[in-house]
Amino acid sequence: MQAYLAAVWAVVWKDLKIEGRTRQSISVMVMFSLVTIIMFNFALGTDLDAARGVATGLLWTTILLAAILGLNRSLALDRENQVFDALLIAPMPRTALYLGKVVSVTLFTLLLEAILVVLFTVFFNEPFYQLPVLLVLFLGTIGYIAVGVLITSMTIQARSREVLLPVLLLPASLPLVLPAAQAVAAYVTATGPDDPILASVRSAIFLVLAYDLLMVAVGLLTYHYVVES
Amino acid sequence: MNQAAVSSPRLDKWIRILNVAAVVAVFATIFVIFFYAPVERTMGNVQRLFYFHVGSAWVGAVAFLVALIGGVLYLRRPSRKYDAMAVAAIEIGLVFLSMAIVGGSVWGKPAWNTWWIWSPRLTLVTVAWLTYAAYFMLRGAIEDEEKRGRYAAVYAIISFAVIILTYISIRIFRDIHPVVFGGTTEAAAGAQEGLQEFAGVESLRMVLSLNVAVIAFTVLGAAWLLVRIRLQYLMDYSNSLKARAASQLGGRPALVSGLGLIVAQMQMPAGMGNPDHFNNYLVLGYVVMSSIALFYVLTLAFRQRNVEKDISLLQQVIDAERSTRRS
Repeated sequence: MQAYLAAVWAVVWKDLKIEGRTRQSISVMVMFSLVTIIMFNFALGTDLDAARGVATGLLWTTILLAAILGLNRSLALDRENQVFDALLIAPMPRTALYLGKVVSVTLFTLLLEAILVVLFTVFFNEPFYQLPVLLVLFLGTIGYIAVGVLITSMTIQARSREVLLPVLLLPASLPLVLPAAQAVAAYVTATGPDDPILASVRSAIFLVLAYDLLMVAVGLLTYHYVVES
Repeated sequence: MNQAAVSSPRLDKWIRILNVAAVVAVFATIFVIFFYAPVERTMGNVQRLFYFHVGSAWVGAVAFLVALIGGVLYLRRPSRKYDAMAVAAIEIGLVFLSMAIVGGSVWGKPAWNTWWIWSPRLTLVTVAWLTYAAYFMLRGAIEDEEKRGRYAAVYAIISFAVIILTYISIRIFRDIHPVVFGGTTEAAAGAQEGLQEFAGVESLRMVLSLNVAVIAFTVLGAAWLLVRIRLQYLMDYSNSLKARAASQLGGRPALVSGLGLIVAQMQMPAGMGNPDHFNNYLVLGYVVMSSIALFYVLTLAFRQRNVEKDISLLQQVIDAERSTRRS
């Protein structure tokens, strides 16, 4: 177990180190999100109330799209200079490699989300910074990145890789976005802890958790079929 | 790859049997729907769309399950057979699902007074449709045959997980938020216009008719599945011929099982007992559903013919090459 965690950590550390030196994934993701939010602000006009109504959906859409950039970037980087072949030769289980990639991309996305929460609070004047909202964002990200790493590992080897990923990944994210956006919206609009709107949140979070568990399980079980060459 | 692997007499025999059975079953179903099934109390004749609609949706669901099984089997033991099974199942599943969606949409117009509404079930089929349509994008983008099979199998498993989760999530949200997502919105939309939602099967004759339709569609689906599997074998064979020499092969076009549906289209106006003003939706529903089925059957036949042409052409090329080398 110790050795397994060490292997996972090694993969994560490698990605963090690369990111720390180049800062390419994060900066692209943040810039993309920023541009998207501002574009939407213009597209929605000056009516702040109308914009508030769609803010939760917009938050999730931005995260999903920005994470696609991060996934593509992170896995394409491994393909350069035969890094990935070296990772496959390394004496560690394939599942550790998978978990390592999931953790590192999740960390990038969480950092992005921290920035987005501030931006959304500023632009839409809604309390996005609450702890429950952050928790839902955290849980949702895990499941999305878990299935994202699995699918990106396949599309990255295809001819039209950047184009293919959103087509495959976005429909797969739908059962996640549905409850997650619901939960975030409930917390943001709730007037107090006794607000009846919070009644639906528990099953929404349960669904997000179910998504996480199922997708991580599918990833762990099938990842080695994807990377074997 | 030898000739035996491409055209197995057993597969051909089963295709022939199922084709005939499918034509008979579809004819029988059409007869049952229009002459045996009772007129529904609130909706009238347009409710007769129900039988084909449920039949095709059922086959779509089963086909995706078959694809999941094919995917899992392929990962356990890579074999062309399982890959062909998964591709064939997903393709015909998409066709049946499209039929169910379009037919249901035409029924929705008179019943709910809207072609489309984001109700739980419609959300589910939309997600299913998108997910499985993307399956072919993935296949098209991977060149290595062995890798393509593996990736497609993994994706088939992911897709099934997505469908299960979508199903659970809409079920839960349906219970909690009847106003936002709920089933009542469907009925409410229609109720405003003085219409009522279909309450469910209400007599034994309806149950029997529904069973006949489901069985007929299952047979039709099985026939298409096998035809599509054979087409997949032929396509693989044609691809392998491009690289090396091989011998001749057999196989017949898949037109037969489509004939029932052509006639279905022509038969329809005859069966109306007491017409009401929704009958044009009934006709429209059956026309679009049959057209989709017919179009698919024609595509299958064309693809099979083209592949066979390719194969014979390649064979000539290979033979010519060989004889020139000999002389």
